[in-house]
Amino acid sequence: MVALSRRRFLGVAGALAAGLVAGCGRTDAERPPEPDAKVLAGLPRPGGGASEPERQRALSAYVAALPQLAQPESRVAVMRMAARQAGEIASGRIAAGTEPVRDAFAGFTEPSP
Amino acid sequence: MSVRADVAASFAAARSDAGLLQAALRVEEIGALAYAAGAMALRGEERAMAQRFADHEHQHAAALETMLQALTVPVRRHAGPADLDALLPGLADGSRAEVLRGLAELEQAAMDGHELLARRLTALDALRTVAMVTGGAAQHLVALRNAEEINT
Repeated sequence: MVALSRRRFLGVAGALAAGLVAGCGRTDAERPPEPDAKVLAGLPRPGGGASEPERQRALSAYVAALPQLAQPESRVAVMRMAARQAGEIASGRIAAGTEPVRDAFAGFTEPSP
Repeated sequence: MSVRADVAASFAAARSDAGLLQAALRVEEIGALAYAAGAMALRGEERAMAQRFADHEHQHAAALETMLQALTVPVRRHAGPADLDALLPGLADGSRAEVLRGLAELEQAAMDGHELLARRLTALDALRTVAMVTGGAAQHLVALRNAEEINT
């Protein structure tokens, strides 16, 4: 299972690395002004009773949004939201009596059931 | 110096994207060593958890090294036992509570560093990977704190 996760991750990492290479040279100063407020307003914010899939979708949205944010403070806020959401997923699993950490990347490399 | 202060200083000293990612890589590599050492001081399910998390830290390190390769930055130095000893001396000989606390502090320090990356990294696409790593760290932290609460 670990080997499978690692293989799957290498695919993810490769895609991200390709994206990074494609994005090389794009810096804070060069990118067009991004409406951070609009990006932030569009992010899901699961409430206390949210299901694990809802939380995982929110976490995915935070990860995807990070490079779109122009202001450092916005990025820090979303990085914190990602950490908090991942933690909530783990806490929910503990409350349900299941394994809190299923993969190395908070669900992004978890094998499909 | 505390673990968090030491790690924060290493991130603060970085002057480029490569330096920031190398600081993050160092923490993950030390994390892998710390979990492996901590496992020796733990028993049963907690030992198995530490061994599994050591593998996760290796995966985090591999992800960050991939990011550095994408920036065409070679990694010339990897963290070793001396780095672990400097940051968390005597971890393998610590009590169960000391080990769990030390590992939790290291995870928190890594997450603090990821926030600094969110603030300062200019290669913004790399933040997706950093966020996945911080998600993993956050889940480790929850599991460690849960273990600390049990039987204490």
